[in-house]
Amino acid sequence: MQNEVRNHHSHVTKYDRIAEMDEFRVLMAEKKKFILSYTLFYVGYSLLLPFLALYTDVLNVHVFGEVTLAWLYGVSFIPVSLWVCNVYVKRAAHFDEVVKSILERENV
Amino acid sequence: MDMQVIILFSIITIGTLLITYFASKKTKTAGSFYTAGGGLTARQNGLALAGDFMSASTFLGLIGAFALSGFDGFFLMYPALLSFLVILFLVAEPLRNLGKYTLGDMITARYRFKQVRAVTAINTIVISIFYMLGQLVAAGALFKLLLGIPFHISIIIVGIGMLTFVLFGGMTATSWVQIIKAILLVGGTFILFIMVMWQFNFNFIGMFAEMKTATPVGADFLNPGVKYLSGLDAASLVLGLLLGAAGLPHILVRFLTVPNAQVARKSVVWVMWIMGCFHFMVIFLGFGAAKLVGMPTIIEANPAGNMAAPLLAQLVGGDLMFAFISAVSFATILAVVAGIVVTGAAAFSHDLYNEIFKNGQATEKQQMTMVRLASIVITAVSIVLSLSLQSFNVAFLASLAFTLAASSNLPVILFTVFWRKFNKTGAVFGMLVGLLGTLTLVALSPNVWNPVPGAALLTGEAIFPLSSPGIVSIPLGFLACYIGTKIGAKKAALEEDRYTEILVKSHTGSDVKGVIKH
Repeated sequence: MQNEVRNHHSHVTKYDRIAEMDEFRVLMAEKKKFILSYTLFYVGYSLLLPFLALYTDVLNVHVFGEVTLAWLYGVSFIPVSLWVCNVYVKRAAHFDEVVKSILERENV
Repeated sequence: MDMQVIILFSIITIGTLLITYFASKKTKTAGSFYTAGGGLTARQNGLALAGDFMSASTFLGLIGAFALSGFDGFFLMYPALLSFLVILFLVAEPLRNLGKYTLGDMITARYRFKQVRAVTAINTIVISIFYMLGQLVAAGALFKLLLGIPFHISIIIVGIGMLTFVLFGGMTATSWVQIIKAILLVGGTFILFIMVMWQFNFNFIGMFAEMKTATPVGADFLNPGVKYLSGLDAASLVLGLLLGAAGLPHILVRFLTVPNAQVARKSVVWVMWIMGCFHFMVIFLGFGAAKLVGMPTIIEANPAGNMAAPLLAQLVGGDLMFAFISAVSFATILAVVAGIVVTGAAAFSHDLYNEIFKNGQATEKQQMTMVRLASIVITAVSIVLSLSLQSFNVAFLASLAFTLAASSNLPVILFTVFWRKFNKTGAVFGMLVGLLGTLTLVALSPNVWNPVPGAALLTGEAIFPLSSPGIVSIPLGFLACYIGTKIGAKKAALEEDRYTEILVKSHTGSDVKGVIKH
């Protein structure tokens, strides 16, 4: 039990040290900005359709043939979500690099 | 035709039993039962996620929704795809980095209190049972329609079939059944899609013009509003589906079957591509069903539209295609139900039994016995409940599980990882209010109350007007977390805070395990 407590204290120090590193703080700020802005975008994009479609006529414009703007909006969720997914993977690869260098500096 | 159906069903049953046999050799420890030893690759887990997520209500329900309500089918479909973005951005990596076997592990990584673990586990079991009810009622209705097997017997057959491979093969067998089912489902849909589009000379845009006159609703088929009149109700449904997946225990557990955050991330890419392709085909299969089979025939077979896909398969591909699609639907239900049972049973055996009753000291053998026992009990409870819910709308039961997950689990998961001031009281209060609040709103909603006698469970005006409670219950869950945190703030100030630890762990990943060894 005593051993556990001692070990436990040593983790806290190590975690605290990483958390206080400038590099880690910058990483957190970057991640927050990235995650928040994209999440607001795709949640907003999803919630807009029911209101536009059921309360207004703006999406009833014919684009080609019988295909209206509403249908293009509906289908657009597939390419848009795959695009956002792709952006995330690329950003995450960058974050991985930062984490790697933080851990290396801490000799983990 | 019966012979073809029986042969195809037998092939699937024998196939899953073979998988179970090989998986059972690998399932010697509780860890391998709970999460397949955490050794799946991104592609395997991506396919298994697709297999877990594309339930019978997705496959049969979505095609039916586009066939019967045209544009309004989108409101049921696109939130499911985008929900994986919520998972990808907010949940998958922290969960993988903090959790071990269950959601309870993740939350208690920050709050090491038995009551937090107990509430999380009970929450997991309740949501799992609700989700399973939807699947079992769908199975009963489906086999009655497809094969003429009575409702009760169908449910018992599915229950016993699924239990066989869960009991012996645990998460390994479940994952493989889900992988194979996902391949069969997407493959079967693709073949059906080609057959249908052939009839329309692959003229996607021309199909829209044909839809204007193909159904009794006429040109309205292509406009929003065939099914949903209220934008608020539709938005509430969208919000519940969008956020719900990120709180569904059996989906979250899939991220604990992979070795690290990078693989968890890549498996989301896989599932999103698979579902994106699937969703594209679903739109045109719905059109095809409405035009070729006809709306009246679809409604006559099942008012909810669940028979649109099998009927379309029979029309364009004959009895063999009908048998194939029916068999795939069977595999779909088995795979989804198995994933739910493993998750619920793991929460019972790992969280409640081992960590709480036995203080984490239970032996492997005791845990294996307990997880199997829990699987049997959860299945039995679900079967008994679903037998009495025969008349309930399947889509409603499934969407209720999503809303429960979004209102009770998701706020706690997000605050645990992202909010420094969040505390134990907030977590417990948030989960309980989210769970009970959602159930109360549903009990007061038009799903339960209808002025026309016999149209719903109870006769009378609904006190709560929306049939999807998400738009109220989800903010309520977040609010309860906030209020609970304020109430518990004084007490929490005296307790040790692990926020820094979990912040570093959740963002830097499994590599930090090295720190622990220091």
